[in-house]
Amino acid sequence: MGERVGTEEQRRAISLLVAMLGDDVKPFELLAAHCASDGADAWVRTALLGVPSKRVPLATWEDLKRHSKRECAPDRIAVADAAAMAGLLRYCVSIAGALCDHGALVSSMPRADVERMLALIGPLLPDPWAEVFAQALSRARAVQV
Amino acid sequence: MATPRSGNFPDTQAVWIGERLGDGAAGLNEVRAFVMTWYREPLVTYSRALGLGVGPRMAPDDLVHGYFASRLADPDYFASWLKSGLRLRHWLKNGLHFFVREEIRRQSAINRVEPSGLNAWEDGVPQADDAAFDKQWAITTLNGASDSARAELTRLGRLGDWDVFWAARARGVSYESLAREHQITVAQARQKVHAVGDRLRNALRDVLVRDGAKPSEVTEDIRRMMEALHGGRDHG
Repeated sequence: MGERVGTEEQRRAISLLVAMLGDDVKPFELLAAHCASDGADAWVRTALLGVPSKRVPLATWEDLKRHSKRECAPDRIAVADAAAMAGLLRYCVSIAGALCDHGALVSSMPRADVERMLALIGPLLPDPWAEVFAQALSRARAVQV
Repeated sequence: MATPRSGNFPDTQAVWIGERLGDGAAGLNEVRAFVMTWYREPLVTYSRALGLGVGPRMAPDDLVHGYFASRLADPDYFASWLKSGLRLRHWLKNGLHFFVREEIRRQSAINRVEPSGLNAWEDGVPQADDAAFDKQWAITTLNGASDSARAELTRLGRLGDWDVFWAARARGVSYESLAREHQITVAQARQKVHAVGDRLRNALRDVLVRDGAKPSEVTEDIRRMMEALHGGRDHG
């Protein structure tokens, strides 16, 4: 894991797949389409301004998760505005960070969805986030519930 | 890409190819056309990415052409696939690796290569890489399904519906915004998005089912394709 999804055709293909899921789409899959769109790297860096990119206490990740969850409530995700997407991204980063730094699963999402989210979103992000997600995925697969 | 026929699929694997093989030469030609349309490009790109070939001067295009020429005229080849339980794409990818080894042995016999030289040639053949191939196949298949859906919309004079669909599903634009922008009602915007989504999904479903997926697995297969796009090695 950890390979950057860089080609235009790969990114377009991800957007196509998400578009095809329709009503079955999960919020993090919609986020994937957002991260795969043109200019997403700059958007990601802006959305993650102030988010720790180095090891921090678990409580910091939990605080970020609580705060960002309020920004991406399901009714806002349906609208898919940039602020909601940014909140969802920070929410995903908090899950990745807690797993990466502490091997702790701080989300009530099903484990399979957490692993899928990490595998799907991570390679769409610039470093250092791609690497954080890759390490988190590795730990998620190793950690027993 | 040719537009695959839509319709109701029984919940069994590989029905379409099995039925075509029962139609004799015409059916076999239809199967070959399907394989060449949907699998040639990913096999060529896969061969290029892996450096798969027979000798330094064999281009990936020629390799895949040679493989298809040697196998696809034989109905038993597809009959063997039907018994294999593999997805068609994996059967074809494995077949390509077998073909490369056969060709190496054939050419070494013609050129009277010593056994040690033959071993070196065979050792140089890369191992099969499912992740790399699945990624190429996913990209080609998605582009093909998208092209089919867009071609059909163009034929109907409704290509603008694609923009409405793409804005809603890929960029998350609300139906209300789309209705304002395109001067249609919210209900019409929703209907256009669903109609194009169904068309695209049906185009993809047809290929996935012919590849060996069950119709009930299509949503799961879409998610597997998403994961496949992250796997393997890049070729660009």
